[in-house]
Amino acid sequence: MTAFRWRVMLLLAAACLVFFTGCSRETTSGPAATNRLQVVTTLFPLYDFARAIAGNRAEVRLLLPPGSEPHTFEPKPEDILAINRAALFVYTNRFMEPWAEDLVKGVPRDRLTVVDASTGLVLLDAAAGHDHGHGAMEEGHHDEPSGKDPHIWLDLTNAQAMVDTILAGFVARDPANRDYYAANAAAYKGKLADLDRRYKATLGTCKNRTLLHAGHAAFAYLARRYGITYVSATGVAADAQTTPSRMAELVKRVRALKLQYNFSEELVSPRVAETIATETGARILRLHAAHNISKDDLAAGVTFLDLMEKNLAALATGLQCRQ
Amino acid sequence: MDIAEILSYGFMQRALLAGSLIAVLCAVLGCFLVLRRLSLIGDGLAHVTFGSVALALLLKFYAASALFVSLPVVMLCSLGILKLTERARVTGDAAIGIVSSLGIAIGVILASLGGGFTADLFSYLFGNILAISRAEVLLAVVLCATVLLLVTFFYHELVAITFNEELARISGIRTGRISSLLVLLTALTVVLAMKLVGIMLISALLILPSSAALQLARGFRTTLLLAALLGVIAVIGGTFASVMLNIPTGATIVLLNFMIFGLACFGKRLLAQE
Amino acid sequence: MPPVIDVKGLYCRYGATHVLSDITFRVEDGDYVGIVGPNGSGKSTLVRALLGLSSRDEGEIGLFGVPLSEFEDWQQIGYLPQHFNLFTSNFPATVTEVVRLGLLSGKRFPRRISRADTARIDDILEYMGVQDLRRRRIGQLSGGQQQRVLLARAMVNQPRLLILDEPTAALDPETRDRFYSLLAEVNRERNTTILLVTHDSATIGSCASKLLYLDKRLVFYGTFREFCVSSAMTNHFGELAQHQICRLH
Ligand SMILES: [Zn+2]
Repeated sequence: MTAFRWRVMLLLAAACLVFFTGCSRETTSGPAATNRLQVVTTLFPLYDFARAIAGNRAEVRLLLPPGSEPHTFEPKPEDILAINRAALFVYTNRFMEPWAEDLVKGVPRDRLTVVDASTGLVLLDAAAGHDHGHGAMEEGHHDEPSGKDPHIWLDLTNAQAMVDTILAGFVARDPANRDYYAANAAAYKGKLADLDRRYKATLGTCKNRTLLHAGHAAFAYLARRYGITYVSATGVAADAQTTPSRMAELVKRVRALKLQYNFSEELVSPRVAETIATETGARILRLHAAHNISKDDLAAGVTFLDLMEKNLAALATGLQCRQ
Repeated sequence: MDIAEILSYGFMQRALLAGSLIAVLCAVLGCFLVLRRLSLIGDGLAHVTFGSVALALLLKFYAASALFVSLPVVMLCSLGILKLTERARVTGDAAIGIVSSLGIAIGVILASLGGGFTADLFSYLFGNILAISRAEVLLAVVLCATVLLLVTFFYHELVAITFNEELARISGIRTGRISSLLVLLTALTVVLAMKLVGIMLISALLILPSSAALQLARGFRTTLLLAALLGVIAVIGGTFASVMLNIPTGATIVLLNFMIFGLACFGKRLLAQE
Repeated sequence: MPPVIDVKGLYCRYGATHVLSDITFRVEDGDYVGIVGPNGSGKSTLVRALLGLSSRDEGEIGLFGVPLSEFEDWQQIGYLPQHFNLFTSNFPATVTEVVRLGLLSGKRFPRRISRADTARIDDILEYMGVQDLRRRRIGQLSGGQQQRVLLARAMVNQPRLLILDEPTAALDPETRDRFYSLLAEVNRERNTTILLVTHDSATIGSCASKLLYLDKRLVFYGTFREFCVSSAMTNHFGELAQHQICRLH
């Protein structure tokens, strides 16, 4: 399936060169047309943070096409063009976008400021994403890429730090609007901090402290922040396939802990979650790891805060917390 | 992990059952397809399915209902491949290449019209052998029964057109209809079975067990039976191997299939030397 | 009794080139017709047109008194195409399975093989002298054995007409001679009409009762004796060549 997807992506890239108009409607809105600061972001959380800071004084673009798979994303020619035209490029970290560093290497820093949003944050080991605090279950997961878990944004304190890092990038490129950007960033951080408090309050009261996620290991940061045990079906790469033993472990865990719910991933078919549900009777709730959002959600103006708000509600139900 | 314990899980039972049924199905169809030089049709039709799902999404058929669009489209395209090989003196693999690249290109255009690819497009299309639902097991049973019944019913006709189409024609067999039946059954299998176990496994199960059986068996009937047997061995053996080695099941089955094929080629050499 | 084959004014084209022009001839019951001619003279095109396998532009073809387009009684005809054993060598079928395919033309849907059919398969294999090979894979046999099996496939329905397109091309001379005498026996004993395409005009004289010489048009059709005394043929081939062909007879 992966090979197939690569072939499709390759063809997509080729087709975009030919059907340039079809794919480049976002760029035609014209970077050269205005003098506003041009910002390119890779993933949805970065996009959301950046557009909050930008207000109406900078133009922020989301590189990832809505609805597409973030981990296997590779920039298309048109994306590379957009990055080269921009003044500020924000990416998550080198484990999420391994292509980013190489891509911007050739662009002079006086023309483009590059922001690694994970600057100053401590990344978790990728292997730890599987199962927090239960080392016994770790044996055998040698298929993990030796690296770090890229999903830093799902810890709301990390998210606040990322807003600061991105703000620094804005200020470096556009010092004239420093106070405006700083005020926007502060307001946004306030909302994140408030949400973080509510997460802490709600998740502190749960009867159940195991988050069983039938998806790829995206929520390790969130789980660590709020003291929850996290179990996922696969590792941190989204297209990894689960193994029979892993599935059996998940089922066992649901039964042993008498979990009422298991959680499925956003954007993809909840097959694994449904299988666990059939096996154990645990109902399915959807968690949104916010890497990317659907086209409809983007059009509806859904924000990172909205998604995290919904996640909190799902977690409160799924982990049987007092609300 | 203990085999007896892992077998107590429903998802394992469903993987073994549905996987074996699909292996039999693919092995039997694969024998005819490989001999007719249409062995890549599985892969080709998967590409077409991709295009058809893009169409389905554009027409606002989401998730499972995308089948209502993709199934007829893929079946039509399988007939298109057949017509190309018949009319235009195009070889089977070239015809598959033409139709599948057209499928992909149309898919890419439709997807870009519809606002880009969505991850769910892939995930609804490509199943996972470890995540087969009860309804899907039933689907596999019905699919397997339908295809095997039709193959049994038209067995002599299918063998005849595979042996030599012109001879079949002057034996009073309506070769066009039988060929159409074969590719339509293949299209049906590709679209539905792919949803259960993923395209990688379907392509492998269409080509490898039948190719291995072709190395070893003497007669046609024995080739079909041996291919089915080898396919089932690969699914069951691969599933258990993936349990013991703790590696993804689909890929393990494909690998085991390949090893069986390699052994069959080796075995053929030994037989030839005798 | 209507003629086995009745061709009137047949024209065939391949793209823009005329392969066959104005072919008219009749084959009567029990005839053994050798179709000869140089390479590219349209021999295969002619027999394929007779079977409806290649399209014709003009002309009428009748088989057993029935126009080709309405002909359905295919079990009356056995056909062995050109270069056939090259394609079958890799096919996974036993000798019995190959011969069994020949029975299909005598059956309506759903085609089932009865015990009587199995006996017929055994009979024809024995007649062809390949009964000991019945469980072998077709591709493992020698060229001569394969050709016998394929002839058995064509004959298992006891057809009244046998059409063979260069069946001996890949055989060594000894095997070829044995194959020819087998055909002569089939023609004699079973009264099977035979249409044999060959590039080997010298040998054919010794077995065929009629000669059809083709060179994009019908150069000659008649008995061998007529061929040898025909002054038109002397003009066409030259005296020496005509003598060389006829001397062998
Ligand atoms: Zn992820």
